[in-house]
Amino acid sequence: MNVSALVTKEFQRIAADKRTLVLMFLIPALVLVIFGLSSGGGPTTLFTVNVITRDSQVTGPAVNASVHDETMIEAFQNSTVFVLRDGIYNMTDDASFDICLNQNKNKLKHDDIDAIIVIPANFSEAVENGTSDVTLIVYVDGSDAQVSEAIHVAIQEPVAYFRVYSGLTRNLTTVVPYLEFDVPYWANQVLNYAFPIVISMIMLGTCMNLTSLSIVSEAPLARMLLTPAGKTSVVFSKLVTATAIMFFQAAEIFTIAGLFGMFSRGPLILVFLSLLLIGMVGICIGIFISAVSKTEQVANQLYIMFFIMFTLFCQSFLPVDNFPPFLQAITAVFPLSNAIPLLSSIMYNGVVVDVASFFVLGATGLLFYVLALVAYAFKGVEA
Amino acid sequence: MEQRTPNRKPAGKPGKPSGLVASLLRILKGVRKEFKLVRTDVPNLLLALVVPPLIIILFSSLMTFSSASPVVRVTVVSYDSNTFFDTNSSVITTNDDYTVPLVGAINGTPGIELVAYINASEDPYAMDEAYNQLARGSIDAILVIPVEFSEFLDQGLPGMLESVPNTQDLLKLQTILNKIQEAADLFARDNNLTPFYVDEVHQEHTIPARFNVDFNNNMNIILPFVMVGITLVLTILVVVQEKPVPRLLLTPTNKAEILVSKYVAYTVILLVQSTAVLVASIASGLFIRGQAIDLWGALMAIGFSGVSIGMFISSLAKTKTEANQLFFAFFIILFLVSGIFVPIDGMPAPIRAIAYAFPLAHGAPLIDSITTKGLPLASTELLSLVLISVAFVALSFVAIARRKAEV
Repeated sequence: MNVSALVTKEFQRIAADKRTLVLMFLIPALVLVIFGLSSGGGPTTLFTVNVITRDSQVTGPAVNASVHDETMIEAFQNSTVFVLRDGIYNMTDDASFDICLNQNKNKLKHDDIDAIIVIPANFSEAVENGTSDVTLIVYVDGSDAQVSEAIHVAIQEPVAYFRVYSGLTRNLTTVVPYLEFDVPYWANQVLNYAFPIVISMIMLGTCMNLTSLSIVSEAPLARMLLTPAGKTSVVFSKLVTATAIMFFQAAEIFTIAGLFGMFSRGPLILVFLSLLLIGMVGICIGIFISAVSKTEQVANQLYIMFFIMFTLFCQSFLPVDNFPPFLQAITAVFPLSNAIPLLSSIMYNGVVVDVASFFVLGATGLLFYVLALVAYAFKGVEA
Repeated sequence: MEQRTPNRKPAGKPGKPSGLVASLLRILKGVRKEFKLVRTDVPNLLLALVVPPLIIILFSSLMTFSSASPVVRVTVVSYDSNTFFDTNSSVITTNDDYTVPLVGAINGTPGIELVAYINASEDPYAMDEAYNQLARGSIDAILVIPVEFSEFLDQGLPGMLESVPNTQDLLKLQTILNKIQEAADLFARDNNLTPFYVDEVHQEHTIPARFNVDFNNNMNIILPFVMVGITLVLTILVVVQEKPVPRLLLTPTNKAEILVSKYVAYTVILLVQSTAVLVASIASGLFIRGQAIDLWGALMAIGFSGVSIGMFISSLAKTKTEANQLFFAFFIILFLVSGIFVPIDGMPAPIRAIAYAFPLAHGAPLIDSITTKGLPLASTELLSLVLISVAFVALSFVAIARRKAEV
């Protein structure tokens, strides 16, 4: 029996399993349509804050300036990173400030705001002085790592606005970020930022699913082995068939993503080839799972276990920098740890190919295919 | 041949309890049967009771192994010594007095690795070179010192540095920006560029110093993920794998009672699982500002939403393979809209609506509110979880009622 006959048989088997085919083609289409139809949004969020000014409060018998707090508030109002939730709280005595601060801390506690900005009583005096530190007091939710890490950089913008509005630019040193390799504003931000992660997961998961039962569910193995077909040919035919189906899935993903405005700085053909490579790895892992499993149930459980492990440790979810070096090394060769950088380097950076990711992915696929051949060679033949 | 089994309540026999009591007794027997099944299925039992606390302990030990913050690799491209023509005074200068101090500040900032310093006055392709490094991933950012930097600072005008961070890894972007700002602050301090505008940050609801901050920050995500993931995996096959459904339906037990007994059995397992997870979390160093019992309640609520989704999948699927495929579809959507990759607030309205229809979007804020803010369990997040669970429980009953009994 030649391989083409086996491939034909495989196509017939897969064609009979319509639900798997539906899953393969429907899930990516559904996800891409949802993400594609969404406009607005993106990976960034603004800081919702309340501002309390105490600048009008008398700070001493000699001086009491309060000319600069309104400019500072205006700077916050014009900021592109802060949104003022309520009106401005102008507190002129300690008692009312304490009450106001506690009320706002309660809002912070209930996540109604991300931070409280307090303009202190001596703010204008410090500005007028010109040499001493000018302080803004910021209360942030320390349990929200994203806010507490970003607040210092974010506040540089209204401070810079304030200094420009007030003509106090002397010695102002500021860093203006120009984000490189981001998705342009005119492209679909949601779809394009999600694409490398979402599509890598879908390609890998559905292709693993396609083949994870391909060997274990074949009851007539014994009979098949009475034919001239060798075990290697059987496994190879499964690889060929699944690859052909995966090719159409990749084409579907590519077409729908294109229709919804997929953005790529690198050549589109490389995006497509990367999808095929990711799919191939999924197929090889699926065949391996099927070859080592004794029952369909075991194959299903192994499939879920492998997929969750690959997803959790894909280096885009958990902070792997904090992991011990040996675990960092292990997770570095996981398929999604390379698939996501491979796609994003082409799409965002315009790099022709992320060579390391490409070779690791290719080697992973090959390794699992060889392991599948070995496992199948040792697989017991039922009587 | 397939036939629909009538889903009506059987009539009580003389001398035997009937009505609600009989139904409760049948459910009780069903629960016993479920426990017997679970006891014989050792891998699933391990999955339910051993794996969740093990994941927490493993994660904790991984997070305490090392907490080194990532290094930000920077290349500095300086145009400062290029010829600057002042259009106001028509004076030409090549002042770069502040370049060396700035590079020194970058070198002196912990967590920044200065990969290269390229003087654009000597190398006209300096920016191309740095850009290629950025594109290839060998650096995380380019810091550009513009031609007028030193002149402007000398004249009392703003010294504007330009940073070009790589946005390919969005998770690292904030770290890159923070480090560069840290270097700019250090530069201003070292060179006495007064006045300083200081933000005095008071952190509320912080995790006390004796606890591992990384571990605690990540537990808000890990706990809901573990609870939903494990309960899903545990329950997606419980209905669909029951071969003796036709035989069961010959008994007085009806489909709804079968499903109720499964819900009861897996809720009892969930009680043990939640307790085990809570104990493992506390033992691993989870800081709880609120009540431990509230956290336990939150784990139960999150876990039960996983049970209800799993039961729904199992009731809907015709085969085990189909159940696994449906699990995959649900898992992908759950994971993508969980807020892990893109903040939920940053999602467009339609995706946000989908996100809020699944438990992970509510689980993380609920756990965060109890552990770090000390808020009580009763909250809108809990209500949302309950509503999600009720919806999936109802759907699972509809699905099993429509299920054909195999002959």
